[in-house]
Amino acid sequence: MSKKLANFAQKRWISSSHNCFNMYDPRVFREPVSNVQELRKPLDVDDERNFLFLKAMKSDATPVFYRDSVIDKLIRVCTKDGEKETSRKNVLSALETIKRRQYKAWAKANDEEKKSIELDPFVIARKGIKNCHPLMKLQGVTRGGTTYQVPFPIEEPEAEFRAMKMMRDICRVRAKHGETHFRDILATELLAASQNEGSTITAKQELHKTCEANRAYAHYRA
Amino acid sequence: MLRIALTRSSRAMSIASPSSVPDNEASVRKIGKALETYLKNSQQHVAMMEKHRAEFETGRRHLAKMMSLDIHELDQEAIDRAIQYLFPSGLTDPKARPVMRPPDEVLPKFQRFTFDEEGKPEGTRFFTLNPKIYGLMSEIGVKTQSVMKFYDEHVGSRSVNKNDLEPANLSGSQWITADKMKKKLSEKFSNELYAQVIIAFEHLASLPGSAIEQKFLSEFREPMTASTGSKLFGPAIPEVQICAETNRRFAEVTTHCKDTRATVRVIDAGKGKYDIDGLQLHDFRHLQAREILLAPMIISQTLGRFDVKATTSCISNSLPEAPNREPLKRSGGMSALPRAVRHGTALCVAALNPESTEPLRLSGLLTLDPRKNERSKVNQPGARAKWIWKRR
Amino acid sequence: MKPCGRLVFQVARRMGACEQKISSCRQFSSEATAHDSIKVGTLCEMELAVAKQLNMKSHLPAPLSKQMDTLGEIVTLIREPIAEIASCMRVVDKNLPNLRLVLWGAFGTGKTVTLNQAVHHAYSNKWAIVHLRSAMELTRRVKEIEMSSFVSGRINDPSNAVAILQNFKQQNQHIWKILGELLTEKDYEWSKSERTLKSKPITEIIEMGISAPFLASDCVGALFRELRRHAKDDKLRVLVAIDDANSLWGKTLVKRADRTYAPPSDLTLVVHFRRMISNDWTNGCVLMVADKKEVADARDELGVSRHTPLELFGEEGFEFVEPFVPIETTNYTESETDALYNYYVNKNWLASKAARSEEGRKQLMHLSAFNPYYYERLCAFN
Repeated sequence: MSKKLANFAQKRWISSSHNCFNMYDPRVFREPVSNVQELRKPLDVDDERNFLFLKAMKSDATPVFYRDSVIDKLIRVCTKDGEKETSRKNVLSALETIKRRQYKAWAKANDEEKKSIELDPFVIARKGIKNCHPLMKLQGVTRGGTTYQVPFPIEEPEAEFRAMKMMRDICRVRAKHGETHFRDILATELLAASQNEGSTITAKQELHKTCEANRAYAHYRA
Repeated sequence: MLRIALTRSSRAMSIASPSSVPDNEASVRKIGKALETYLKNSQQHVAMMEKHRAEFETGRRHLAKMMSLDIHELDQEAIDRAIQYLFPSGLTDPKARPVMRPPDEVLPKFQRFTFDEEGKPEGTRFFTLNPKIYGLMSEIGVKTQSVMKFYDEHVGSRSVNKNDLEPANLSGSQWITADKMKKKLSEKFSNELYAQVIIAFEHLASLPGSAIEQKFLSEFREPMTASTGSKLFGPAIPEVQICAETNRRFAEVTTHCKDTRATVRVIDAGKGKYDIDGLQLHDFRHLQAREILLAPMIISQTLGRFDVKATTSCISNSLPEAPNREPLKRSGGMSALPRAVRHGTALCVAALNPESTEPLRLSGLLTLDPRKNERSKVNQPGARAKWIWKRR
Repeated sequence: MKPCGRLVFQVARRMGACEQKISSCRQFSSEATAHDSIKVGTLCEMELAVAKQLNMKSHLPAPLSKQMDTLGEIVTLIREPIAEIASCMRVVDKNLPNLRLVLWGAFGTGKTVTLNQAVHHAYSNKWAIVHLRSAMELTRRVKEIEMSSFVSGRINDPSNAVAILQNFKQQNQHIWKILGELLTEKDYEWSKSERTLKSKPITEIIEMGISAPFLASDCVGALFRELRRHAKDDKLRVLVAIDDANSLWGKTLVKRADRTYAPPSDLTLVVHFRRMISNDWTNGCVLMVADKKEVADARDELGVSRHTPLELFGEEGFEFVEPFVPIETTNYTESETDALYNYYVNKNWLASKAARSEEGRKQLMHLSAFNPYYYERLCAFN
């Protein structure tokens, strides 16, 4: 135990001279508050933000009533060549399509079924992404010339990203021929994923199977 | 006093002791060279100070006579004024100008040391050039060892408060500057030594368990507010004015974001009308642009209360090297103009609606965004992009 | 006074009865009096069967067309412009030259929607309808061209001409019998073999044009000529509704044989429509929309172009179209937004909880800048 601490104590913080200059001095700036409810509450007296600056609000983080962190992240993941506006149009059109399809089903259904049909596209999209979260990831570990695919545990943010990336790649492949638009394919995928069906769910299950098969390599985890 | 009665037999402290007096005589012994030098220096210092004090007093009297003032009226402020009058200086550095102060303030102080009965200085630092700062460093070293030991002994045990096993919380404060440390320790030292002390402090503060030495560390920290001044980074919240014709309150401020400079005026008792360079809110076709422009109203819950009027211009077009740049090329893309107007609007809303100042500040709307376009480097196509890398 | 027809179908739904304000409920049609004027600020519904006949699916703007599909009904707000148009249409008389109205306004304020409401109004009052979806189609979306045999130098557009005739046929089913009774003035020699004789019903011209595309452009011209003649004779009233009318004097993408772009006056269909606009005939109403699609650059994301009729029609077009009654479309007022909001909430179209809260209602209004198009787009994904 003390050996570890001594190792830790010996590390010194050396500044690198790379050109990664943060315009927000990290000693004096903190992240802004994005939740509207939290904004209304006064800060604790000894909260450090009473004495420090807060970074400027990001362009896509205005606390509008439809602000959703999962959808915002999906928009960022689907961005290509820096064209975020196109990506936003696609994702919001996909949400609209989901809503239209659910509305049509809802209008046809009888009173009992009506209660079980979800109309809110944000709820469906969140559920769909959540169902696609993988539990483990495969990372290549090279030992003696061979690269083994080793299963590693995964954190929530990374699992979310991997789910979105899987879905985005599947949709892009399907939309490549140009007859169907990316937004419609994404809508189909999100709807299916919220019911635990669809290609992204299949891909996630394949990943889990491979992780299970490779569990012998787990001891390669550093 | 040179004569000191020695109780113990001399252990030959001095190298040069020409005449060794027998021990059993309770008479004057030769004291250590260190103490001898110290006493000599001390005497010299005392004598010098006396001389300077006398000179200062004489000087005061002369000055009083010159300035036709009563000697009792001549306090330090009067002396300063007199010197400024008699020796007008065009030197820019205030420390270079002539000064007349009591010698206790100006002349170097003499460091007092304690000696034991044998004439040995207490502590070996007497022989160093910067005893106090080396003392501080030793103290830090000792505390570092004790913190490590404390952590090793108490990690995992329940008998100790969990907070004590954390590193010291030093947020909102920074290390005192070299000048302040010199004043605190009343000693002059080099910048390299100061750097070493800070490195030692940083190391101690980073250890888990250094929370027990929080008090010691706080003595050498000063709060950030000392340097930040006001709580806002960028232009301050403007004053509220009243328009003469319409009798409505308004506030006006000039800010910038990337390459766009915006002068924003927010008028109270309005309907939520926007007039940005003659454009209305519905002329901003992107939803994100409208979100950005409405952000201050959403947070302060004043949708539809204020009218906003803004004029914008391109900063780079007004610079002297503008003729070399491509005209009408504005950096920032779609969001720079709305962001500049948002910043101005938020400041004005904070002025007109003071209870929303804290929510606006916490959401980051009152901060000027300091980010600018990163310059492109030689041998690269842009700021970060590289040419296609070929292995061979 | 001529009786005003039933202008719109006002159908009662749940929740409407509780509120006393006119602007937020739809009223029973039986309560409306014979001489009722359009209630500005109410929502009106178009019957689906009528909408199908009037080919609303392709004439309405795309978002509303999708709403028709999803919600199963077309509900639009009655606003000032359509009330003005309705009152103008009441004034139309066989002794007065045709009344020209130009709908103009900023992007997304309801020009096309108002035009379609006017078409529906004309349908209810049994007018003949000449409805062109977009004059830009005639100048810029021309697939094949044929040189005209009638006038040298003129360019025919068979596919668009056939489309116009088919559209006319579909939209005027309600007066098809009347049209069948109107007779041609003279012999029409379309080509060496085809001809339509004098005193034949003008519906034959339409059938001729639909069956023979290469004659269709000329048939369109003949049809329009006959309509104008019969309108003058007070046999029927004609509403000419042209969306993006300023494109009739705009840019063309039709290339002549010498690889230069043809001016719009060289295109037969453009010439025919211009003749319909000119005020040498009576008992009709010409409703034009001045849209900035013609003038604005599609790739310019940030630029804001002018939307006044003078800018959009150009000098030549403006001179031609003068004198006209300008009708401006504007953004929503707060009460209009509220009416629409309540409708969406009732229909369960606003799905998320946040959208249905008070904060959501306010933010929807302001974020859309009270612009009808942006409001509809915002409500679509919430």
